[in-house]
Amino acid sequence: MGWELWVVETLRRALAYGTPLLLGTLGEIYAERAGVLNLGVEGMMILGAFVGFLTAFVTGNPWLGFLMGAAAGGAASLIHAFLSITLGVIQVVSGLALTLFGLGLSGVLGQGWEGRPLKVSLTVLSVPYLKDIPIVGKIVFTEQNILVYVGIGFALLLWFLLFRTSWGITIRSVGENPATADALGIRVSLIRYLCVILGGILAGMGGAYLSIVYRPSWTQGMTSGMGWIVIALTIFSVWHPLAALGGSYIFGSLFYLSFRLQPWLAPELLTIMPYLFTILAPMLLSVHKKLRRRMGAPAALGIPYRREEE
Amino acid sequence: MIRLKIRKVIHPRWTSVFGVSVLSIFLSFFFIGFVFFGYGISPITAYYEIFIETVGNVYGVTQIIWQSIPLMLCGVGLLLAFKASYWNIGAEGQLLMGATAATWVALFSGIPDLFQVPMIFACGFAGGAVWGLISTVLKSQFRINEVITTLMMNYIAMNIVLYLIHGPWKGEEMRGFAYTDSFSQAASLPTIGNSYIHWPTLLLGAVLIGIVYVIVSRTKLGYEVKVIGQSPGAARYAGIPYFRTIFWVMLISGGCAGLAGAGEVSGVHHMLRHPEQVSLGYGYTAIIVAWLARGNPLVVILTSFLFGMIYVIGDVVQLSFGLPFQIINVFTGLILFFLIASESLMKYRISFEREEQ
Amino acid sequence: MRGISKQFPGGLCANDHIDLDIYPGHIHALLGENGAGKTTLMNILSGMYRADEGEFSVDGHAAQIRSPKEALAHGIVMVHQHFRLIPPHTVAENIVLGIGRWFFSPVKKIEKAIRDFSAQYNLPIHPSSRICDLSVGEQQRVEIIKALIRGARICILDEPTSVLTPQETKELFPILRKMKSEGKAVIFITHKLEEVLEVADHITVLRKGRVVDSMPSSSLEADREEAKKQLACMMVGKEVILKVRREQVIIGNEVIKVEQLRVMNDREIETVKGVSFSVRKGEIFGVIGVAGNGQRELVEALVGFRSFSGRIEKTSEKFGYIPENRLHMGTVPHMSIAENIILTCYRDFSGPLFLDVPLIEEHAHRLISSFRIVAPDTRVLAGQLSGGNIQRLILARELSQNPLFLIAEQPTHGLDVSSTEDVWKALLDLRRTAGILLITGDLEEVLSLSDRIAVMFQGVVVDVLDASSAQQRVEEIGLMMTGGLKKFDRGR
Repeated sequence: MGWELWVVETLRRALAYGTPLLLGTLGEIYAERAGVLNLGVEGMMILGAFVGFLTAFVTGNPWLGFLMGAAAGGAASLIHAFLSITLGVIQVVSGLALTLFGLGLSGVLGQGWEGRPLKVSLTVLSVPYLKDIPIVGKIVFTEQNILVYVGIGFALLLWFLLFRTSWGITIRSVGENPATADALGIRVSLIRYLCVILGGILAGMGGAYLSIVYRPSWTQGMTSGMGWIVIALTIFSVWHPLAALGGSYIFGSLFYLSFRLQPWLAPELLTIMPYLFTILAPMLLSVHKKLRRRMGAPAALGIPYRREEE
Repeated sequence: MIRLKIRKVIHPRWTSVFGVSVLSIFLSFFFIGFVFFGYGISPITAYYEIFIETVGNVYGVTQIIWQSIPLMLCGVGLLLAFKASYWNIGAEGQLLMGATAATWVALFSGIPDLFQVPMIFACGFAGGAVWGLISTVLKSQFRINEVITTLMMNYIAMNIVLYLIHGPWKGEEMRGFAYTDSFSQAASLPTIGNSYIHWPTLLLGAVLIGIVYVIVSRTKLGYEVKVIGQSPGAARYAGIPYFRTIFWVMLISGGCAGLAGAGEVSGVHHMLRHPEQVSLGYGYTAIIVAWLARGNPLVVILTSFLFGMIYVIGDVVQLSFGLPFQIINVFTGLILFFLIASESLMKYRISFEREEQ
Repeated sequence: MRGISKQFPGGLCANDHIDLDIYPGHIHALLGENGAGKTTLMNILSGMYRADEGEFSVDGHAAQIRSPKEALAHGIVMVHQHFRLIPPHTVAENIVLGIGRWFFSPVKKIEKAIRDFSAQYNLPIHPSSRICDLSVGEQQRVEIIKALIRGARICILDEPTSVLTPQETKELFPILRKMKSEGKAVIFITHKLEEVLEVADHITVLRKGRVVDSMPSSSLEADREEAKKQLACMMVGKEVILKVRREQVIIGNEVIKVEQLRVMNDREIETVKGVSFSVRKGEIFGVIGVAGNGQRELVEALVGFRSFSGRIEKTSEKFGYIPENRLHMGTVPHMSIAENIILTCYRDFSGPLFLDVPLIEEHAHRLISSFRIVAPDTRVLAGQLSGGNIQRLILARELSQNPLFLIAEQPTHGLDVSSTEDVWKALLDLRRTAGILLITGDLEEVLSLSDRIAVMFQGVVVDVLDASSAQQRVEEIGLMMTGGLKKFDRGR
């Protein structure tokens, strides 16, 4: 292959590899924009992966699989939401507990289903006119499975919601300054619950993608740290859904490359790339002072909100 | 008129704290019973079997002990970090880097036999310490949150080990699993009888718990750590230098995890192998070991045994009932859920009071 | 408002049976010193706090105000001294927050309303600028528009000019007058006499939680200066009863000298504008001023928490500091008394590695008894102590280090009478061997304790007088604190 074709092909595959990251990141962006840090993404994703796989296996319908996977993620997130919003516990610990629980539960439930191949498949299609756009068309709109388009769609939708509607302003204000929002009559807890649950739903969907599309099977721990990359990606994309697109696909290409470059470079070293990147990115961002000032984390992130008593 | 009065309590009595912890554990056991039930196993049978195979026989007890060793070391290191409110999630990676350093000593350093074991521990400590301190440097220079850095370093460490055992340090290969050559006798730790209990590391664990206890309760450093962890404003007022204190904290925290790693490769496996075999998630479980100890280094002994037991339960349940090992993560997760939920509820004391008209 | 009373836990009575009448189309000034109860009263009116006693009536009907939402329903909105704005968001995003009318592009839709109000009230503001890029004056305008758009009929402004430059202050008054002419009622809380006389139709003076008097501004003396004296008198009281005796002490050398100190606050605005003074051993140098006139930044510069330009010369690096913030700075609430008592001197109680625990215990016991800290033993947590005892703890700690120089920041703020007396006694005791810088907003305190008094207003030391002259000129000090007098008139 000529090297331009190689680049295009890499980028094209990157979209498919990056979609689970994208979904997870979009969800975590919403949760964190509302001020709740949810480190349980790994647990929610893997529960979504198993439930999604199981449903798709039993019913033969991948879409039901996605639906149930999303539901599983959402249900799991309720635990974290209750602990951190209603009870106000330290969010770092609650999220970690959820991850452990999710990994464990999925492993327990999933025993006996390992290695069974899933025989459903998702339609792969190209978008009629858009695929002819030079370069971009070949990368984005050619021969992608439907969920990639769904992912892009979600990113656009969630961006619009966050930045162009009143709901978005409310969510962002809750995460920046819950006291101010509260004083204006906004129900801080409700907003936070909804955002955390949305985060769970999307994480579950991302996990289901792994087990239905990416590697149509179930293996214990198959998310292999993707949930943690989502956490890092959330920061890397500066809590912006459109940037999440770019970030997820960059990481997606890193994942793809770590397979393709195996003949030449030690695969383990390639696998390090995403994680290293996660550390380097804030370093580079923090150098640019203006960026740091404008694009920081939501000010109230991770801090349980208690209405100030007199 | 009777009114419900909810008062905030700053400092719950330690008896209620202990009671709540025990309650959380029991509740978790209770819920696990449902899992057994779901697999068609009577919970009673399951618990009986568990009891017999863990504390009920010598083999079980030795299993518990050797699994608690890394938990003890990582746990006490994390306890210190958490006391300074420094969220070190990277014990897993620090452990692995300690194991790597130890492997280098054993296989590639050419150090005379007599000094092998001390050097293994020394380099293990150093490896873990350096790995942990990287996050401190990143925080002090770039203000990057330590949760992210320590976490990512875990994955980087894992992959470094994978690279080494598949690449430059590859030993004989059998059945597709990669590992390094075996350590020599001089580089291996003695064990008690036929068990896996590598007692030098256990001893080190006890010593380190003692050291951390002394640090926390009687030294200047311990005092500084406590003030920083509880009130950054007061620490500033008192002129306590944040990063200099954290330096020592992470040196010890990372070093302890590194010691655990050195102990595992030198005492249990006698080689460096796949990261998930070297550490069964010890670095993550140790977070809860430390948390459950509520800031008291001596209690880490108890909590590490508790979680050592949980690991063994996982084995038992797998062998006797065919349940997956992952059940221990469910267990751990549940314990943590109940623990933190009850902790927050403990902050309030509810009483009924008569309101004077 | 009728008979409004509020007590805070700890015994502080913030409002004591206060009556207040507000009329539309009037600007009503609420005047008083720090701690007079003005902000508490307005917090009650705007629904943030609940009164212990008292009732409201709106438009002649009895009303309940139990939350900001209910207050808003009656058209009552408060603009706080510390703005409730979200810095990274734009003006429009801040204003539209919580207005449920539009789902799509609320920002665009509210821009028209913002422009309309902006024109109507002459509050020039760009809807798309970010709050963090705006000046404080502009941010205040955003808050005002926010209130007006929500249909405020009564607009409460808490110390609106305390954060403004003189120029911005000049621009604020026409806005208030315009609001008045539109039929709104404006209540503004202040301690500045000049502004009150400039703009208020009606004035209520509070002191120590009670209404001293309430009158239309037309009923004051026609001559501005006389009117100010009248008001200052009401605010601070004509006489101050001194409860402590100060003995004669030999004044020694300088312990600290400050020259042309300039300090910027977090918003990069200069809040200390060329202050110079010195404190000598054997004297208490009191800096009196209403909070927010640069005192905090001054102390932060002296203590080393903030950079400054100018010169600070201390005789010795070691000094004592009693911070205003007792719980988050002065002590660690979850640590014991013994642990807190060595907070700023722990290095003196330890060897190279270890703390000398028995020595610390003994020291703690000694200080507990000599400073009358009420606690069963040294293991009690600092957070469990009452305010007065916490302060005794901090005092004990700082004083026992025998400093040559001590900074005491609002040392009796929020304390009951007996604790206040203890603090005063301790400071006067220390005065024999050290120089003390006392920063306070309590006129009685500064007059009782200080040998020399500096009045601070808007970052500048208005004047420095010695104790004997100060006793007779209390109203003038009050005037200087509130900007009514530029310099002490030594001629009289």
